[in-house]
Order: sequence, then C-alpha cells, then structure tokens
Amino acid sequence: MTSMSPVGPETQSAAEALAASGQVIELRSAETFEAFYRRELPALVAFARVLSGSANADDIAQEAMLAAYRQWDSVALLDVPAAWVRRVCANRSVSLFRRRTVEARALLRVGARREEAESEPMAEEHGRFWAEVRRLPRRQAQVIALHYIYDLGVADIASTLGCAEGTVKVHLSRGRSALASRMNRSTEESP
Amino acid sequence: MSIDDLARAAAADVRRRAAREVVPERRLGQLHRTRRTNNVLSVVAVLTIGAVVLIGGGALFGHNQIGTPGSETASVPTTPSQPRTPSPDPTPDPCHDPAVTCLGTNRFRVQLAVPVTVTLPANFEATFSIFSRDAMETHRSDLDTTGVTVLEHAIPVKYDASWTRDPTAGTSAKSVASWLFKRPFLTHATLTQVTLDGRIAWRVTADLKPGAALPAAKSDWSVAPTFVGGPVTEGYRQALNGEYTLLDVPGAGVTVIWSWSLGQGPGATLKNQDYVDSLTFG
Repeated sequence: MTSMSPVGPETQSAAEALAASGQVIELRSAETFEAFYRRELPALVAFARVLSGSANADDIAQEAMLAAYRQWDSVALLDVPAAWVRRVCANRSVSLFRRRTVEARALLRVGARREEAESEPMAEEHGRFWAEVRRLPRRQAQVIALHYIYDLGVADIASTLGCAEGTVKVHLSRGRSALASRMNRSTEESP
Repeated sequence: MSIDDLARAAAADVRRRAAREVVPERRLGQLHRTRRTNNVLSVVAVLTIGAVVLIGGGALFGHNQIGTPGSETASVPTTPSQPRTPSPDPTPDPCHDPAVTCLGTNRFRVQLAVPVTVTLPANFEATFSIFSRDAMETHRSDLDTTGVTVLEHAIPVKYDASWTRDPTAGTSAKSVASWLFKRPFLTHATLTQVTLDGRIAWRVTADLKPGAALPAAKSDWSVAPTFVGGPVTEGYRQALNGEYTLLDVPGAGVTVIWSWSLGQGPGATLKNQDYVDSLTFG
C-alpha cells in the first residue's frame, strides 16, 4: 500500500524539502503520510467536530493523525489507512464527549458552553442536529457521523468500526429513528 | 424535510466549514514538531533504561533497545508498551454516562422512567444504548447483531403501517402477552408464565410465519410490527429470532424485554438469558 499510494508533484517537493532540512523521516513514508494527511485532515476535523463538540475537535483530529504518523509503517499497510484514523478519531471523540457530559452540566448552568464560545456559529438547526447525535449511544453516534460526514455505506462503516454490517444497520436504523423523534422529522430517506 | 435530508444538509455544512478553516500545511508543521519532540523524549527514556540495564549487568537486553537521533530505531513506534498492530479502540466505560450508575461487580443501574438494574454477563458489551426514558438496549460482545432491548411503557401496535396502539391488546402484561401469542403473522408460538424480579411475567416465543406480510417500515427494513417504546419500534422480520418477556412494572406500565438475534440462528439468544434474568426494576 505504501508504494502504491498516489504521490503528486506537490507531495514530492514537500518530502524533498523535509529531507533537505535534515528531518528524521524515512522518505517514502513521509511522502505517503503527508499526502494522506493533506487529503484526510479537513474531513477528519469535521468528523471530530460533530462527535465531540467543537471545542477540542481539531486537537482530537490532530492526535488521531499523530497516532497514525507514529505507527505509519503499520498503518500504511492496512487496506484503508483512512478507516484506521477515522476509528481512532471516533473513539477519542466519543470518549471525550462522554467525559465532558458531567462537566457540561456545570458549564450550562453558567451559560459558558465552550463550543458555542469558540466556534463560528452553525445554522441553528444543524447545530441542534449534531447535538442530538452526540446524545445518542456511542456506537450509534459514530455510525451516524460516518454515514453522513463521509457518505459511507454500511459495508465501509462496518469495516471502519470493526463490526458486522448487520450491527451497523441496527445502529443506523436506531439512530435515525431516535433523531427523527427528537427533531420531529420523518425517517423517510432521500431517493 | 426528512431526518435524512436534514442530516445531509448538516453534514455538508460542517464539511464546508472545516474545509474553509483547516489549513493542513500549518498543522502538518505542528505535527512534525510534536513528533520530533516525542522522539527526543523517547530516545532519552530508552537511553536511560539502557543505561540502567547496562549498569545492572543486563547488557544482553540493553544493546538492541538503544537508538540515537537519526537512526531507524528512533523513528519506529516510540512507546514500549504500544503493540505493533495498531489498535484504535479505547475501552468504553459506561460509568461516564450520566444515565448509568455503576454499582460494582458488573452491576449497573440505568436511569429509565423506572430505573433498571442489570448484572452484566461477561458476554455483553459494557455499553448501554439509552434511547429515551423508556428504552435501552445492550449488545452481546461475543456475537454480532444480538442483544436485549428493554421497553418501558411499551405500546402494542396494529398489524399495519401505522405504528399506532392496537386497542385489542389490552393494557396489562398478561393481556398483551396473550395478544402477542396470537398475532396472525407468527407461528410455533408459545406462551409461558415465568418469574422475573420477583414478579409474575409472561414469555412469548415464536417464529415469523413464512410469507407473512411485513407492512411496517422500520428504516431500512419491512417488519411485522409488535411494539413501540419511546423512539424504538420493534417487529418481526426474516432471520430475526428471539423471545419477549412481559411484566407489569408500577410506574413503567407494560414493560417488554426483547431478547433478540439477527441472522445468527434460532439458538443465538440462549446466552442472553443471564442478562434477562438479572433485570430488576425500581
């Protein structure tokens, strides 16, 4: 996988610059990781934002990328390295959100929610939708976020999260139903 | 606008904003700096450990562990305890969920309308999906698409697409169990009186009758509907096996425990029984 990954002119020059600067990175891995990083980071940040709330989402995405970078020799050999980093990000985002739920009660009392203070305001309804996603059980929230942020199908989500396709279908169905109920929407899908 | 349309619009919004705000080049520089710092710290740690080992006479082990900045050793995974196969899964902890109280020795109290206490068997995930004040679900860890769903204030629904109450079912666990036992889309049905949480309960097992109409939509599937509980809908479909246990719980109305398995064969729910038997209410 490492040698088969597309390497564009921009990436080559970046890698050459890194090598010239004396940085301690094996050239082929550096090229591949950087291309991977540039391609995946924006969507990974979006993914972390919806799962964790935005206050620390960018850090979570960066930590997930750092985890991939540290183990790039192994991660690059996976069939879909992006799935691995998304899974790291999903787990860290949801864990962080769960830990902060108790803290959030106190913050809400004083009207000082960090995500509202630090983020560019989102369309109110969209913000409410993602807040409801974060209230879903852990796996459901991850499945919903992967499905909509990455437009992944059931098989790809199952592969990303390391579970069966049937499990994904159950979570997708449960998650949609719960969200529809809370947002007063129907569960009909777009064609 | 359906929930699917709203979700897609909300996702496009987030992606668009992230693409506008995130500058990969700048963050890549930060990542390189973090990695170099970690490598230096790691090498210092490895050198320290190596020195201790050498001083202690453990040179056989120490030589292969020592790296220098710029060597290949310094750029391989740096945490000694880190496995070579990358593992992205931190262990979920249900105690972080404010709706769950951890009571110790695998006992958990879940805050539904009437709190439910369960002793979690080893073959279940320590994660509770709490859909509303009336519905929760737990999945097996040793078998995919298998679990137990608890519905308080369960509403028996008509055999059509409406997901509305079937008034012929009555309002007690006994009458609803009898109604379920006689559903026209079921075959091989059994109805048994059992005891759960010291209360009289009724257990219904059945299979979906071959060729039975599946008039209700449950997101991606068509089902023969049985119950609604909060936002959760339940019904029979092909390859979905299991059994219902129904009991009257003061404050929670007719409470339905649905032990189920999807696509794992008819015996798959046997190992759900310890979970079901451990349930107490109040």
